[in-house]
Amino acid sequence: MSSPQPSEGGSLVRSFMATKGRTEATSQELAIETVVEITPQARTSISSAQFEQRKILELLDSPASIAEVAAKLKLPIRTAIILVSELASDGLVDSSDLVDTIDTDFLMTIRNAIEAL
Amino acid sequence: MTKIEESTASVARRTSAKFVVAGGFGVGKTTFVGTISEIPPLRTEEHLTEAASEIDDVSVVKTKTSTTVAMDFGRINVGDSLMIYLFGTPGQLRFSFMWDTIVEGALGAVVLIDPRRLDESYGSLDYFEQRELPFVVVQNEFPDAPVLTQAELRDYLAIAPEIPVTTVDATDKESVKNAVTFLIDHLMQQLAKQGGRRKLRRKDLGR
Repeated sequence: MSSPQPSEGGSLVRSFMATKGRTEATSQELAIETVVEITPQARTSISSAQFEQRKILELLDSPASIAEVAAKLKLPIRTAIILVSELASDGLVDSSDLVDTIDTDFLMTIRNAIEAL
Repeated sequence: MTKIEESTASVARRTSAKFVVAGGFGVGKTTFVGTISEIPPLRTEEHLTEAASEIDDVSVVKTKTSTTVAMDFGRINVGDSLMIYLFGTPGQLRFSFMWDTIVEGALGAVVLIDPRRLDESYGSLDYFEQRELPFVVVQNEFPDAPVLTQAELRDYLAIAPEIPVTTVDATDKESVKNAVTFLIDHLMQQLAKQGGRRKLRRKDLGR
């Protein structure tokens, strides 16, 4: 066997190793813009989490989207979704609601925020 | 149903939404996103080998090189409970699975145009027309390039009369803000035609 090589993505483990071979996310529906955050109970158990999961939990000390998890930990989007889904089903991560229906008030709120930047 | 006012229960319930910034390679998407983002713009990268071979033609299978598909994005916080993301599409249109991930559930899109390379933008225009995602066409003003008139742009790119067209300097914050509010104004006009509400398309989630 050859010695370990860093993957091109810069991640320390191969994607399928990080997900233990899982290629499907659990029932939790996560999009790239879904905002996730560590739950209070996860803060106490963070030190016992596995490597990849611990890195995600540490990152999610402040709320961030799936896309931010993937970008900051150099994971493919699919891998980030699977890992975060698992943390969510274990009650360690709380995921935000996705906007489902938009109306004029909602768009006006965003418009005002953009103008105030 | 997720209106932000209604989602701020005891613990401020967060929601998020996204815009898409599309257009061909080198058209200024990354600059556009970075100019308006409140966080340093981030990049995700997907390394494709098998996936690319499956959807490409035989000539590509032969080489079987690993391709990197990059997606740049930024974030704007609206109060404590709403996060708005701007996702720049990968330049290569053929990796449409990545586009689908970005576009699903998006509020709308800005299609950036480089007036010197109009053909770079055909793919984006076709894509959004097919997906029925509301979009505006925004010509990026490069210092060393001519600026096409609206009429020229509409003519050359066969842009439908109902699609708004404007210009932007992707390096200028006020200009980018104007381009995004230009899109939002278009979205509001579209909403008015649809009874003031629109359900976001999000069919392939969890794929």
